[in-house]
Amino acid sequence: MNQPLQDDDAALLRRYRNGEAAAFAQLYERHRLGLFRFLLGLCGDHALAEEVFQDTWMSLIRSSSEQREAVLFKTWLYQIARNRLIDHWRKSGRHQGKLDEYDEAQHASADPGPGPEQQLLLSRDQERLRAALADLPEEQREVFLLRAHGDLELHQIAELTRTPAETVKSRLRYALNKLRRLLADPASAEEVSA
Amino acid sequence: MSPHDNELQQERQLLEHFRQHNQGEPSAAVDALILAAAQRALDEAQPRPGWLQRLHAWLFGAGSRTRWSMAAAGLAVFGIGLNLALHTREQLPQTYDLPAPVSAPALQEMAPKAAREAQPDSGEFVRRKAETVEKKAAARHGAPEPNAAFPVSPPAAAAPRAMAPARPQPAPVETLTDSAAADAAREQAAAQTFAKARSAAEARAQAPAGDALHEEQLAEALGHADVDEAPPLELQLRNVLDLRRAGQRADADRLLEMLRQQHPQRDLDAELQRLQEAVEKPDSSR
Repeated sequence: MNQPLQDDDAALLRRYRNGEAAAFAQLYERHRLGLFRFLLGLCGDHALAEEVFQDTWMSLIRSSSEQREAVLFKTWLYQIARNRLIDHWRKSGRHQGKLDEYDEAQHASADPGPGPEQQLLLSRDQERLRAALADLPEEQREVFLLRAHGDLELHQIAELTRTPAETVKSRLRYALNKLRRLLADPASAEEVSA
Repeated sequence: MSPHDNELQQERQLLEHFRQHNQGEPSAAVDALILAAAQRALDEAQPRPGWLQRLHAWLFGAGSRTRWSMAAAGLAVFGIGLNLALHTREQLPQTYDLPAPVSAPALQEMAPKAAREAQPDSGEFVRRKAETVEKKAAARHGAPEPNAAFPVSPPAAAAPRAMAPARPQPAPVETLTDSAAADAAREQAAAQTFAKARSAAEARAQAPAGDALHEEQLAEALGHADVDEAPPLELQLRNVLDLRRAGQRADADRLLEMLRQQHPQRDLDAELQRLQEAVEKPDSSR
């Protein structure tokens, strides 16, 4: 399904390297929102997300190397953004406590998942969405954001994060279960259960 | 519906929910900055064309027709200028080396000479006469020796003047202002010279054996010793007659031939005959 898009991205990048500025504008418009929302969801800071977002595109502009044929442009772009954000965190000395304390096995057994009746009761409140996302462990949030905003497949996420595919799959499943639980409307849930 | 399909459906619903309700987006300033940076990078990355490409674009690019026209016009102007310069340079020496008309220098030189002869007592005249004699002697050393019988042969004297480049005439205005007086003086001098020649011819007719003394007397009488201009035709014809009388017919014929070349329009034989008769008449009357 993504094959035509992949070809289009690579062709646009080639055209830009050959001096066509419009190709870059098209490429930027195509991935602008997804990449920024991925960074914003990952760091939770709009200013920092913009800074890393800008750094990412500048790296792409300054880089004269062509995209490797074997790598999807989108994967390449999100990988650059992820590395930039990690670099920033390392420089600023931010400690990812949640990452260290998170125990996947514990979460795997504790999250039974919402029932079908709860699925329609997901809160549309922006604050609740942001809070639920921020409550996720770092790895699960990263996998979920790459899947939701980058529209990447599991094997692509595994390649980008250099993590086994099974681990990526389980992280996504845990993230989805937790988000369903956090976003479920408690009042509606109580009514259904009563 | 299997549990796996149910799980996939839930996943899709949740992802779609997040995609629809996530509102974050980069600011317009960041968008503009990134797009401007991309454009700037393209401008900087454009390789500057080499001199050959620039030359090709200059020759055959936009506006090349005007440049070609200007180049052709410039070349044509240069060619015309060069041609004119070379042509003028070739012509200039010819113009300056052209021999002056035979009559012009003779007239110009005769005028002051006749005036000088009109005032023989002048010290300036004596000094210039001495200089002229010296110049003549020097010219004779450089030029082929003329016939001994004609030490002051008019054609021989005129020939180097005709061959030599025309000298710039000093003070032409003065020459022109003196021309009227010079004409009168020349006529007077010619009359005197003619009278002297006639008396000398008579004296020589009385003593036909030509000797050196006679020649010197004749030359002195004719004023040829220091003459640097052509004598009148009649005088030269009398010279021919004198030579014939002295038995030097070859020299007389040669002189006559020269006179014929100088005066092709004149009937020299008739004039010679007339002079002969004029010379013989006094003798016969005597």
